[in-house]
Amino acid sequence: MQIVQHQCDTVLTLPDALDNSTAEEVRKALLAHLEHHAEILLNLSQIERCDAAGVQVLLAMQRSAAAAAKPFAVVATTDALTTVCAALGISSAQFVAATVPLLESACTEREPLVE
Amino acid sequence: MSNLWADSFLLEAEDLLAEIQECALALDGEGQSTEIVGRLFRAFHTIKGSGAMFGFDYVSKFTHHVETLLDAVREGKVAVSPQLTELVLAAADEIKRLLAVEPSVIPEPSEAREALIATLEAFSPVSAQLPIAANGLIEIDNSAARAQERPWQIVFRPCKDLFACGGNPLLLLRDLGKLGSMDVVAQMEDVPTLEDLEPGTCYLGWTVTLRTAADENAIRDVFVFVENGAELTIRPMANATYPMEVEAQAAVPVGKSLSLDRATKVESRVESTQGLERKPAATDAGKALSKESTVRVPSARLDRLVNLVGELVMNQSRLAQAALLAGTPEMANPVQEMERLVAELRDDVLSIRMLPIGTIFGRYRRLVHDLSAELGKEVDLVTEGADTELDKSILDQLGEPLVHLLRNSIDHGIESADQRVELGKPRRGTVRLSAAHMGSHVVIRIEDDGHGINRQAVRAKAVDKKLIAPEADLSDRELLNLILLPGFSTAERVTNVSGRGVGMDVVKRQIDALRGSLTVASEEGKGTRIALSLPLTLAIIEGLIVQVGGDQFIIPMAAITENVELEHTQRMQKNGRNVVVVRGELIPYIDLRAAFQVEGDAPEIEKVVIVHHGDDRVGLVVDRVLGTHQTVLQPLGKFLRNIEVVSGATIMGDGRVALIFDIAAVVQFVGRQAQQALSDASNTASQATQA
Repeated sequence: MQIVQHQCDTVLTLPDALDNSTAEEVRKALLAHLEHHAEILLNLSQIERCDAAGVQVLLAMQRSAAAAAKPFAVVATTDALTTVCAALGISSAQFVAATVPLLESACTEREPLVE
Repeated sequence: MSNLWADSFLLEAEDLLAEIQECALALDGEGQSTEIVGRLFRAFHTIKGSGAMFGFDYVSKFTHHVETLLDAVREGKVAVSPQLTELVLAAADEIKRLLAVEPSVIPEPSEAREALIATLEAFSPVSAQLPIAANGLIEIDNSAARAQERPWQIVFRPCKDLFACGGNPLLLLRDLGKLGSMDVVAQMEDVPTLEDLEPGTCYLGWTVTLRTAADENAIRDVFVFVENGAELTIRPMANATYPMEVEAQAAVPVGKSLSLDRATKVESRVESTQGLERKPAATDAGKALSKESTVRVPSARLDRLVNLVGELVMNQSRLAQAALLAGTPEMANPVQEMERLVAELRDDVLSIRMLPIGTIFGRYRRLVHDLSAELGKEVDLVTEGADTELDKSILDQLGEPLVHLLRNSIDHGIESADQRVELGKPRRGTVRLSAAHMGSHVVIRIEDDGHGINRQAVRAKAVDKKLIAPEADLSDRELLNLILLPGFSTAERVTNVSGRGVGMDVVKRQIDALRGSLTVASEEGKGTRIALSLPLTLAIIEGLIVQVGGDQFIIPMAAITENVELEHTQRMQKNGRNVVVVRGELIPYIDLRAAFQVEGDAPEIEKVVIVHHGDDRVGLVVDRVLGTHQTVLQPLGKFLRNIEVVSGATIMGDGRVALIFDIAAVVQFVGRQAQQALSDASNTASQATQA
């Protein structure tokens, strides 16, 4: 599993698998990210495999961000994640919001995204 | 996938297949069929679901065909019949074969399997009309049933360990969706923050509104293998309340969220929750709680635990000895308390290994069913005392002897149906397999109502095989025991089932190895009864320490009836046997001092420890009785293994080794000694006459 930290240092890209087998590793990465950033931006565009345990980590991240009063948003998602969320009765809108402007502003203020 | 989970599935599947076998054989087309078919369906359904979950896709696909058939039976579209029983049994066998193949390996194509699938489909009116999808699953067209659809509300909160146990709610919800159209709303309020999240724990729950023609049982079946520890409520909804589209509020609060407004809209149809309970009904919760929680542990771990307790028992014994020698009174109480605790621990640990004998009865029903069909006989197996518990290590070794005995009963004992009718017996023969506690032993009986053992044939065969002299005078019991001799067989024909002359002596050896005994009783024309007497456990026993010369021996306490004193003047001989008179009864005895050629003089007054085995009582003459001892049985090394009357050894508190008597062997030894004495006396008399 590879968790990519973008150069703009604000967006965290999660790996292609977000499931029971990777949940703990993703949780730790998210915790570290949460600790060091004022805004939480997640790039979920790589996710090709996920399950309820993985989605649960995202929900927990959302809660942690809320508890820390830090903005949280998802910059992109995949059909795989959307399908799983729908099957689980969780609106993918839960994660994917009008965040692109935020992402752009976040990165523009620091460094451009890696191409 | 972890091998641990796969192994766990295989164990579960083994249990389920045993249940399937039992249910299939119990299908009689009468009153209980509905319940039995339900159990069968659930068992196959669990194998299918768990199989898919753990990568046994071929098992899952094959099982689907049986499940479809049983669903049709459940709905009354297919009748319960002997053919159905055969089909279900054959399917269970096929699943067993498929389970033997690693999940990652594609099983060899099998014509038999294809034929079985074709038969299953031919039997099932449902599957015959339905197309099979590329994934091997049947695509169900619900259009005909749609008119009868009704809405159900299902509230499901899985057990916390769902993910850790390999459970996948996605598959579950997918299966549920196959029953009809549904709306799913996740309950997310229990999801903690990242800091508190344990990824293996499932914090989610679901409220599902399902519109289906299926009944509650069919819905419940979807949850059958995740129901343990879960909260599950299934309740029909009034048609009027459905559909009712509302926007639900997402349960997760989003603090200073950038996307709050858009994220909280769940575009799902949900019913009004007014008047509906989110939590399951109290009765269901109570039901879930009342289920006894069990842990599956590899038997090797239990064996290790028993061995450790054995070591503990021996060390406790040493401690007690050391405390006694030290003569410090303040140690007496703690040592006694330790002894009590160790004894309690020993009993508890040994009781964990005790299993009801009924766990192996199931397989014999199948054996009797198959053998009856093979031999063209009509035989019923009646089992009694299935709850009788026996140490697992004994149960494991009991399987083969019982198979031999049942085969013998059906092949040689029970007559053909026509013969039985001619003899005025019921057309169907009966083999009775029963178990019961008798003191420290479990007695297992295998009885049949066949033609019994033909004494003349046994005698003729024994003479023919030079096992006895033609003029040998044998009691009825001795005559019957001839069938236990190696190579003895009176079967006129050798069948696949039995009659190779290797059965009964092997059975006897195996039972002897378990420190048990085997007795044969038979009445010509009426039947035969074989009784196996087995100790409850092989690990730790209560024993009596006795001393002969400078050596100590252990006599199993359970076999002892009493101790009496023996003065030299009380010793007598009758028919060449050493006997002692106890309250007017003549009891044969073995003088251990003489038998083991112990040097030195015996004390003036010796002790006779009287032991029993079956109906026989035998005395063991020893110098002294020292006390009781918790005895951990240790097998003898290869040089001592052949000592006939000794079953093992134990280490005493002072570090010395004591031999443990095998009471069954002692009784047999005494019997043979007496026979030899009689024979010698007879020879001497005959020589004297000739002279």
